[in-house]
Amino acid sequence: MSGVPGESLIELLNVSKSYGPTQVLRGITLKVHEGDFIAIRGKSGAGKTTLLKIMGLLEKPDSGEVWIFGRNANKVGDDEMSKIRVHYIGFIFQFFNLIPSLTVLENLELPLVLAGVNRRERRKRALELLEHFGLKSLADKFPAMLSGGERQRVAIMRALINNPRVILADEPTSSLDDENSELLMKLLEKINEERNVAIVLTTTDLYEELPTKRDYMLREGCLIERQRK
Amino acid sequence: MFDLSPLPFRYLRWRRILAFMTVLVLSSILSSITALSLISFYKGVSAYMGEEKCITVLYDTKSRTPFTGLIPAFLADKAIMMKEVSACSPEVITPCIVKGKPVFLRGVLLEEFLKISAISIIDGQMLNAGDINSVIIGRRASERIGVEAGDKILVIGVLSPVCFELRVKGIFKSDGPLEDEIIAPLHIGQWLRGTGYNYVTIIRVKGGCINFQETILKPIAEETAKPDRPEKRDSSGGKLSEHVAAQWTAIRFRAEDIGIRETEEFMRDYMERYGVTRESILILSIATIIFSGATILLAAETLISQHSDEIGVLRSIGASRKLLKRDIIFKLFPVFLTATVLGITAAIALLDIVLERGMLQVLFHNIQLQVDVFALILIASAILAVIIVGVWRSIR
Repeated sequence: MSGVPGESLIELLNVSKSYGPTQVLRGITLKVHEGDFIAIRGKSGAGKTTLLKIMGLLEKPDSGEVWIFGRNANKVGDDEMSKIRVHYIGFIFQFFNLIPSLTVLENLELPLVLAGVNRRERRKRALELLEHFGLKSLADKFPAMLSGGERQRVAIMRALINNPRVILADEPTSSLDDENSELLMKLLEKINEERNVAIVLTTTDLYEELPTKRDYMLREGCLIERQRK
Repeated sequence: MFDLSPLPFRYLRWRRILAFMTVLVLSSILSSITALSLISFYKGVSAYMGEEKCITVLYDTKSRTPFTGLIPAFLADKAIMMKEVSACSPEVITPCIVKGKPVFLRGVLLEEFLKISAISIIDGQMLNAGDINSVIIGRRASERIGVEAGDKILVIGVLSPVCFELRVKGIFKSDGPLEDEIIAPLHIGQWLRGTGYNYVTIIRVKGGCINFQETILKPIAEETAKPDRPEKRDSSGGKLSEHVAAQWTAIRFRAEDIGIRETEEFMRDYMERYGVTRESILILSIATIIFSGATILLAAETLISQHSDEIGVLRSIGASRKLLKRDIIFKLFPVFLTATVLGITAAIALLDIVLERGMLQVLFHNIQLQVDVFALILIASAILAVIIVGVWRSIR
């Protein structure tokens, strides 16, 4: 490990987290650099989601330090953390997590609302993104009217709309069939290459071949880097 | 709909809000009914003798109810002679039976009584000084007993074995519990009460707030208690006793046996003897409000936990906890407002029906609905406060 804390986009230093008597994370250290594509594999309940939440400032570790875009998360309040999330981080969830009462277009606009972008600009950017991904026809549909693959692509678009520097994807393929999973992985790879966005994704699949640059295994609370073949 | 909340989009689900709103409506109905019925009871009983300030009641401190004591009638003559006193109403209140139904009859000197209690005839005619065997009857009492102006009624005494046939000369209405009573000439009340002409139940005095104990009672009591003084004298020689069947005589009494209170204090004094204090009413109200509050708190927390996915998404895309709390409170404000207005309106309507039908009575007197705006504002504020606490606590 080298360098000063805060040089990377996200840096975890000796992070531990417990829920009651169960220790989920034990002294995790991880750096996420610009353009990184990291896979974190582990069984259900291994602590992958907790790790992503800590990286995305949605949870605080019991001990250790989290540095994010040069700032020590321990010394940043909730308002400041929220601003960091709006501008620098995009989240993708296992169950798509689109707001069911809003249309696809409105779901895409949500991060822009929080970033304070005006209504006309929001609409323009959301439509541009839909067009770019060839999903403009879905603009006025509600999430319940979409297939699983479409929902996850909309969720990815929502994560991208504020041009984040990191995307944290929590088991993004686990609710999709093989075909859609492959499409999604290609899409994430494309985003990583074309936009130089760092991506950290988790998966329960311990052996699947992924287009990632680094591969980790989370086991018994410890993060172990896997050597690539 | 124009949205003033910080996040101008809808993420709270309508069905869940509707369930939350139902809890709010029911809780505000419960709180309002409890508060308003207790306030109506307390205020109604307190105002029984008249709501104006500086109406003083002279009563028998030894009696256990406001209706059963006896005090010398001639004290009314002494009181009316004071320059500060504008009216003095000696009254005999007695329970009796009419058409098999219990009702209170109040024997009064009508001219003086009307100076203190506002009543107006809605059917038939007002009593006048020459009426000996006539009565007027309150609107609610007439409906309850089933009599009309012009009817003849047989009135049976409860406290004495007498009965009279009396003519109902008119039906009156008033703003208070008098509507549940029969008003009769003083001597009829005295006969039905089984007391002589020289006693009445209470004397109500209207005028400047005077210290009767010092200015009237003590000197008179000392005078009547002198050992060389005969037990009774022929007449008190006062202006009021000229209007009664037999002139009042000055009777020996002890000043400490005569209580003097403002009307509201007089009734409160009796209520407190039976444990109905302002505090006991407050405790009852608070117990209900705590129960309603706990329900609302639980409902607010449930609503938030039902939206944990939506809140999770919004947090992940950059909404701070503070922003979400503020936004949800903003979004729930119209729900609170609608539910509270609905709840309070329903409570008032329900209570009005219950009270108007005479389903809530104290000693055959209907309780009248008192809409206490301050209490309702307090209930609404408490509900809003609980919602805010519930939302604030739930988003972590």
